[in-house]
Amino acid sequence: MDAVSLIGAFSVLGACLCMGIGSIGSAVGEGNVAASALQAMAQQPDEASRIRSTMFVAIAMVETTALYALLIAFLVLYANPFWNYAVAQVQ
Amino acid sequence: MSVFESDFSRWWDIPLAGRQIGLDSYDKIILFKIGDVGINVTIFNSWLVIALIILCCRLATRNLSYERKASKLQVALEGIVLWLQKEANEISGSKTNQYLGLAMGLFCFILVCNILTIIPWFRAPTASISTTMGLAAVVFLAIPYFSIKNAGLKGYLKKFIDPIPLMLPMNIFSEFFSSFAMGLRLFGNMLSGVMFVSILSAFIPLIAPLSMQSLGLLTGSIQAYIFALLAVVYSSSVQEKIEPENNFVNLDKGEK
Amino acid sequence: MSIDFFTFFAQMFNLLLLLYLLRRFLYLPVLKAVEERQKFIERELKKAASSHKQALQLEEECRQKMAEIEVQKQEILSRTRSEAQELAEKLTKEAQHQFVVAQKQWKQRLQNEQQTFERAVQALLTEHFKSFAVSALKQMAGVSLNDLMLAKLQEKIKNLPQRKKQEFAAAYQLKKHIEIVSAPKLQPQQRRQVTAFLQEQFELPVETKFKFVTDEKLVCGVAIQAEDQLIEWNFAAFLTEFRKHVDNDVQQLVNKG
Repeated sequence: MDAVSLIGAFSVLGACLCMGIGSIGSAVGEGNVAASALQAMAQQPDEASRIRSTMFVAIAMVETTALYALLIAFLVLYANPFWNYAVAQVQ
Repeated sequence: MSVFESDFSRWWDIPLAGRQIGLDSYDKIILFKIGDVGINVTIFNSWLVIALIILCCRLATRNLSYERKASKLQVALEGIVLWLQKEANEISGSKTNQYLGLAMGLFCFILVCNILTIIPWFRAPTASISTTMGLAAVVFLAIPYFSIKNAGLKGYLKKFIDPIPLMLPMNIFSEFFSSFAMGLRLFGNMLSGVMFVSILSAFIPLIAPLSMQSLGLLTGSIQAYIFALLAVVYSSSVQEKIEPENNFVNLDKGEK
Repeated sequence: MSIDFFTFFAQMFNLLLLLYLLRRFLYLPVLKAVEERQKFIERELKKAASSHKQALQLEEECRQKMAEIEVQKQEILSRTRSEAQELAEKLTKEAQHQFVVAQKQWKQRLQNEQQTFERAVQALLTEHFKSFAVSALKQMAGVSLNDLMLAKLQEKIKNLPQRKKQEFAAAYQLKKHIEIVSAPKLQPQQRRQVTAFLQEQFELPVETKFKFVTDEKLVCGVAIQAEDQLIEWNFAAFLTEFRKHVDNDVQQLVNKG
């Protein structure tokens, strides 16, 4: 295998692994947030709206990590400097 | 427009068959030129969004009525304004409506942008990194503004030295990073939605994207609310310190 | 990925522009409208409270007036009732009075009619009886009946109580004039008989004058009259007695009926 295809193959693999492993923690964390919010709402139904608002904020914060992984995957796939360099070298 | 070219000579274009979608594709589509400057789709669409918002507001507030029955549009807008006012005042703890403007501008803009993706030929401005980074930059500038307004320059600068002065670089970095993360969050949500829909529409043109598009609507609305909320949270993070009263009972003398 | 810096700053400017426009067009007017509405509601509530108070006051006044009017009504009612009762009594009394008067009148009339009828009946009866008796007696009476009568008269005068004789004698003394009325004409012999008898019985002086009158009214008989004393024994007396008895009986019958 020449360098270009190697770089291409590993970028793809890297992107997939990045997104796949990165979303595990995020999913677990979001599940925890939702469970705690539900329990709190069940214990204090009066404060349900406040709890819901705070839950959304917490979900956004937790999801950020998965977003970072997605960003890296995108970078690797579409704005890969190594790939661009390799392609430029070929031409 | 070059968007509809499908050039399969480059094998990495095959997953996005039919449409060339990149991270900066929306910025590359130039609609017209004003003098030297080319107005691309992003800017034009955001102008459209602003025009739509202001049109609605003007329609509603032309004859505001508080004694007679109000029009439905006025009632809806009143609902949005009052709800945001309540949220902003609750989160920030302020009685004056100083955070309402920022929250409402961000919320309305991002919400309308994300909801208008239902229209087929509308490309959401928030799906371009420049837009979201611009919004985040506004928040980044608003944080010192509000902090200095509330707590003075000293209070704002004290924030960086908060636990110990050794944390100064970390605090500066976290300052930048919170705004950056806000922009990135919004961009990631919107772009992933758009990309998913376009990929699905490449396989099964009209039916498959429907579910993903509705999910995109949902996440778009939530992201709008979160963006506005986080802006208020960060802006109001620096408050004036009020010395608590000494309510402790003097235990030396004992209670009888 | 690359950030297009032109778009970046353009979007920043867009957002700031939007913020300003929203502030001017949306939430300043809306917040003002909300406040105005609050004030309006408070004003209306105050107005409603004051008019409520006023309404309560008016209600109180009206109730008092109603109570007074009730009292007056009761008064008027009782007064009119008493007046009406009086009027009713008066009217009934009048009616009764009128009725009584009318009744009396009718009774009077009835009595009059009765009396006239009675009298008519009596008159008829006596007339008939008298005519019948007279005719019968006339046919059967003769001169001899006169003698019989005179004899009986002498007997009767003899049997008169003493007191009466004295009274008669006293009356004779006054007038010195005695009238003897008889129905059939007395013969001179009979006259002398009678005068002698009377003188003897009443112890009259001789110069008393005797006057003999014939009267057909006494159907058959004699009546001796002095100043105011009268000795009667004739058919007319019996007839009058008969008449009296008949009157009494008819009256009793009428009364019973």
